[in-house]
Amino acid sequence: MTAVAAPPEPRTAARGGSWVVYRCELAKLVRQLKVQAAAVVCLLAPFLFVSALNVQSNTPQDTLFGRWVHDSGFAIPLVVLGFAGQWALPALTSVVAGDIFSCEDRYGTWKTILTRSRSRSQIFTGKALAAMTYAVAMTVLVALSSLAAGVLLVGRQPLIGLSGTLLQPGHCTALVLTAWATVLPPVLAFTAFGLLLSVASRNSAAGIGGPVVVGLALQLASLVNAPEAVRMLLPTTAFGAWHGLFTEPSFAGPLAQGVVVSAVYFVVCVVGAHALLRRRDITEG
Amino acid sequence: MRWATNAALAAVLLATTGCGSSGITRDRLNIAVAPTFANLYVLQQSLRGRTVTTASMHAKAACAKGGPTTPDQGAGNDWTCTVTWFNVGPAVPETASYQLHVQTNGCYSADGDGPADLNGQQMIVAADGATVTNPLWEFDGCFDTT
Amino acid sequence: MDQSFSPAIEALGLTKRFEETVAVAGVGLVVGPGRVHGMLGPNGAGKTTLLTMLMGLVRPDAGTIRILGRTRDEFGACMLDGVAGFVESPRFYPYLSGRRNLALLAELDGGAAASRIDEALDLVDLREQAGAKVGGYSVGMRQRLGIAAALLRDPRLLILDEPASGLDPAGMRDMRALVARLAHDGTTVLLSSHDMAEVEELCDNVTIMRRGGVVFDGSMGTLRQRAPDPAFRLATSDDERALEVARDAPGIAAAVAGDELLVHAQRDNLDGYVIALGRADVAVRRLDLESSPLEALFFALTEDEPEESAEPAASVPQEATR
Repeated sequence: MTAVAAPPEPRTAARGGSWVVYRCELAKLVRQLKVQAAAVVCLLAPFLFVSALNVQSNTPQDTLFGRWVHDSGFAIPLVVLGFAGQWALPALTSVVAGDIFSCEDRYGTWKTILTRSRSRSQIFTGKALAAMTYAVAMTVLVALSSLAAGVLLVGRQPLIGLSGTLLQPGHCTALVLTAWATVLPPVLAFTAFGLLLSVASRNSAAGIGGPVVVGLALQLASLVNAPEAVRMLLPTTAFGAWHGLFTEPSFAGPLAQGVVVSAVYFVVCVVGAHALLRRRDITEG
Repeated sequence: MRWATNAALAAVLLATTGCGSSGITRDRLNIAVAPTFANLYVLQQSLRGRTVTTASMHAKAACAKGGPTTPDQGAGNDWTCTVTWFNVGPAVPETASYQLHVQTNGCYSADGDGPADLNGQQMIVAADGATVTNPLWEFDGCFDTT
Repeated sequence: MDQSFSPAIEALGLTKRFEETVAVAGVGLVVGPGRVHGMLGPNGAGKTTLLTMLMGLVRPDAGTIRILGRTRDEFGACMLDGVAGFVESPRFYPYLSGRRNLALLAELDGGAAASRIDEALDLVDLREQAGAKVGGYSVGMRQRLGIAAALLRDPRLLILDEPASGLDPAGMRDMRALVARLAHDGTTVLLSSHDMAEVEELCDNVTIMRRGGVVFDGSMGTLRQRAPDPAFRLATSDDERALEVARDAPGIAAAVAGDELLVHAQRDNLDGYVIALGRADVAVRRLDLESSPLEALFFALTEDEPEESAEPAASVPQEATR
């Protein structure tokens, strides 16, 4: 360790710092047991679900496409989407988002990472991007896994759409993937909500539990015959906006609304979380 | 937390002032149910070995919610629809009844309420002798509420 | 101080309030380049708050900080380039190995930090255990890993908060040798400690804090000059006679303390006193150093005055402070 006695020279190491933090956070995430467990669940759960359906003659009729689970494999990813949207996806994303800031409080490592020439904004951006990457990756994983489970265990039969028309397999695949893609905005909105709770509460239980509770509560609220304007503003509504893809003609009004509402929640939560972290005095941990 | 409180507040305000009506109306339901039924009827008939086209059916739906005093709008499981169409030539109208559970997001599930030959059985025997799901027994559909 | 270089640390008028408590009140701290600067004070004196402000973790309510010539306003997070260390005990991710923790921090640092990992692990003697998860480390091992993590940054300014805490005597000796070597190679070190002996051994300058303020700031030489006579505990066969002898002996201040005597004296005078006791037929049964001169001064400087606090009275007699 030779010390350099040169006068200060501003380094540019901090440039691109968010990207460096992002890579570090991803490296940490993939080594966490809960992330590995979540990936395994996302991968296997659809197959277990289809196996369970295949041993009984009943169908989950209270969910869109539920009555077709024995007739077309393409119904499977859509039934999973119907189930997963309301609470499973908020829960899945908040496992990481709700913990990614408060874990530094739990381990007492804020001082460790904030004294390495990376600004708080860079740390925030890197961590937020890592949580979003996880959220998108897990959503894609469930989508592909449930599509694969349906096609492999049930088959590639045509699917009856929501206007009674028969959708051919190739078209179905595209529609299923598009439907899953449309839940990304609300998933990211819930990710941002988890980030905000994680920063604000400094407590992982609140950060992870909060979005799940809110997701469930809003799901109940959306069942009530509330005015359309209220329903429209709920962040969970966007999870069910994909059904317009399966009608003839298709409609995208709810999708557009969902994207706008999700974007508003996302921006408010991210900006709030960033401001809180910037202003915080790191006195302990 | 802040946004949650604000959203809750906005929700309460909107709900109490009653502004912003439901996107689920009788007309929208009528327009959604008729072609869906027609498409599924064509499908069912083709399973039974008959060729029908939706264009020739001129299907129309008349939906209503609850009793005569209930306004015909909003989600609920007390919607009923009567579908009318022309089967063989324009002179022979036929009707079918459905009970509908309409959800707040504009999706509904229709449960066949007669005639029994059309929508009374979950499974039907196809022209080739196979037992298949009857598409008209129960069906799902969605319409735009925005 | 070498005037050709700007100070490594130049903090002026730092104040930090936590709700109603004033943790640091108008503190200034100047550390010259290449110096080892000690920071002493009892718990709650404001040392830790001062260090967290220097490292940019806590925003001061008032005052300015210039580290290696840089301010946060001008340089942002780059203010900490060339600065390394830890405040309170160093903490790491328990589910990762020591080496993986260092690799992550090196990636955050960028540059050549990653190439220094093995060297840093060797310096703190953790190479063997680097593959084990930090969750299983002892306090001392985490302390050493903290120093290794600081060395990755090849610092020109090293800020260490109680670096020897949790270390066994051998580890403490190694740590002090390491600090001495780094200082010899030109690294500026700010060393917070509650151990006067450690500061005396390593530091050129010292700042002593009490209740959020500075009660002494200067070189170790100046501090030594201000130090009182050392205090000794003396057990004799005849305390009354020993007190009489003390009255006649030069440079001896003796008083009864429990069933022993507390004697303040320079070593030469103490030698004469012990000989005089022998001549007076008083046997010396035990003679221990109660506190070194600097310890005595430290206690005197940082002890609360009786009127300000209801804490137990000072163990050092009042004259020791003069």
